[in-house]
Amino acid sequence: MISDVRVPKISLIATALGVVICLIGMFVDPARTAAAYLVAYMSCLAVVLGNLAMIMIARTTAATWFVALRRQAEQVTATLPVFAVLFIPILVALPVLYPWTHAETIALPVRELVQQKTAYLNVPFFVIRAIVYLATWIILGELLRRGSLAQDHGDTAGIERHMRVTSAVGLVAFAFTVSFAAFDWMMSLAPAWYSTIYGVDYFAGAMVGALALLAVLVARGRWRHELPDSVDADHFHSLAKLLITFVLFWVYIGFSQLIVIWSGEIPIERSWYVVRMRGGWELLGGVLVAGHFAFPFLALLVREFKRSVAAMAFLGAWLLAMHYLDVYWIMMPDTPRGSAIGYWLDLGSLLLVGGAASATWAYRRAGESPIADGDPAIDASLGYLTD
Amino acid sequence: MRDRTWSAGAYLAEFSSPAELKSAVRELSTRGYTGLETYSPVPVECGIRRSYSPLPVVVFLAGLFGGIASYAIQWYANAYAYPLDIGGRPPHAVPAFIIPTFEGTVLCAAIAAFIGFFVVTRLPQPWHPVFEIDGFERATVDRYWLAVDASDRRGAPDLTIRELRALSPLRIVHLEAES
Repeated sequence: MISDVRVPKISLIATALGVVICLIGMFVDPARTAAAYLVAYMSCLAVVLGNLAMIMIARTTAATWFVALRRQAEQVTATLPVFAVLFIPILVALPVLYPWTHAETIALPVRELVQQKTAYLNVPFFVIRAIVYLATWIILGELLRRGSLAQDHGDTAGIERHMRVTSAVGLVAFAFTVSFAAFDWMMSLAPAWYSTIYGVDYFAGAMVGALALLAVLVARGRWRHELPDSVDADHFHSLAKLLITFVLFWVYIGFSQLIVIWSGEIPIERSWYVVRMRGGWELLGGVLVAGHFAFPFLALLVREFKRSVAAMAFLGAWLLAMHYLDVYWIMMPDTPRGSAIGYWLDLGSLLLVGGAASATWAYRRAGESPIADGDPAIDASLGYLTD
Repeated sequence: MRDRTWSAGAYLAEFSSPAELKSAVRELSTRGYTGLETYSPVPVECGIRRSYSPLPVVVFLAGLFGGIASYAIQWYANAYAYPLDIGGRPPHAVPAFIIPTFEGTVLCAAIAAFIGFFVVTRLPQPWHPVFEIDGFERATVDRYWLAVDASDRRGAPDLTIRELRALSPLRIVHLEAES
């Protein structure tokens, strides 16, 4: 059975290489290794979660155009269980990552602020919440995947309704879990600081990353002739229109957070931006404004760009890189730093998480139809036209 | 406003089904006609090469102008001509300037789109040459019309009429050039 399933060698090599680099890092600089791993984990997880949200949004709204692409997204969310496994190293590294695990050692006056939050920020409750988040996403992902695969073998109408209800309820659960996961796993790196829009900011980046990955995967499917030719410029056009929406949403949310804090000028709130506006971080911020907003925004205004498979595949790959840098900029300044092999650890962590996720993706999608054949709307979706 | 379409007149043919209209367009397109226009009660995908409006470029440039102008006026007023210390922030306060810059961009782009639409479509247009044809209003009910610009490069009137007749329409109408 296992011999039938082909997992690409490159995924396995990447994972192995990543494991080696991270193991070396654990002995050289454990704190920096943990930080690099957490950034890689959160950026890859965001892309998968964005795909989960996309499936639920499309199911809830009965979006016709997305039916032809939905299987590609479902195969991405099939990697969610491996993210539960990949979370274990983060649990091991809790003490080196999160200052609130040893609040008594933080300098005053920040210590008092953090100690007031220990009813929420403590290790047992953190672990329980993490289990709840991961379980919620895996259950939603598997339910939606299983339903869609069952539709391939008939009984479409009953499943259709079940999927819509699951998605509508799932979106509410998704909104809470993703927002709180961002608070727990990312924002608590700086435990005294807070921003209520933080979870939405993570979600905005997740949707950009998810649509970017879909553009790459659909282009790949076209070039390998896995997808029919009727998945064409009109589908890329729709994908691109949604992508420009979320590029704008990302910059809007990011700017909202900045303008509120900049106007308020409250020391504990502004500390987050003070760190990010010096020491080279301001350059990375500039790269993000140009590469995560200005360039994709201008490119996606052009009709021919949106309808070109090659152009959208390129932009997808570009935005995935930008998405990683975005998560890096959000998280890394608040983690222990200063290692000579830091960038190697970043690369190794990305290889580990990306390799493991892509291997899972290849393993679980083997033998599946690349499009949702059994969906009642599949013919309408394949013939979808837009302008 | 004088209509500029068909300054050399036009030939129109009436059909009773979308299929006939479609094949007529295909036939004339392959013969090299370019000045084709169709009128139908329902959308008929005829494969006429769409001509794109200049509006997107105009709206983009108007938005660009609005953004630059909004930023410049704030910089002139707050940072250059009359710098004020507001809560210790720099007179050239980039984050605060971004919001009016955004608003100015949207305002100018929206106004350009609104006015530009009427200019490009030449609306409102109370009269069009086709209104002179008796029974043309059935193009909104059950008739499918094809119009050939008389200044089309294949031009020769006899040839155009002969080729239209070969498509066996219900009737052919010749709209004379206005003097």
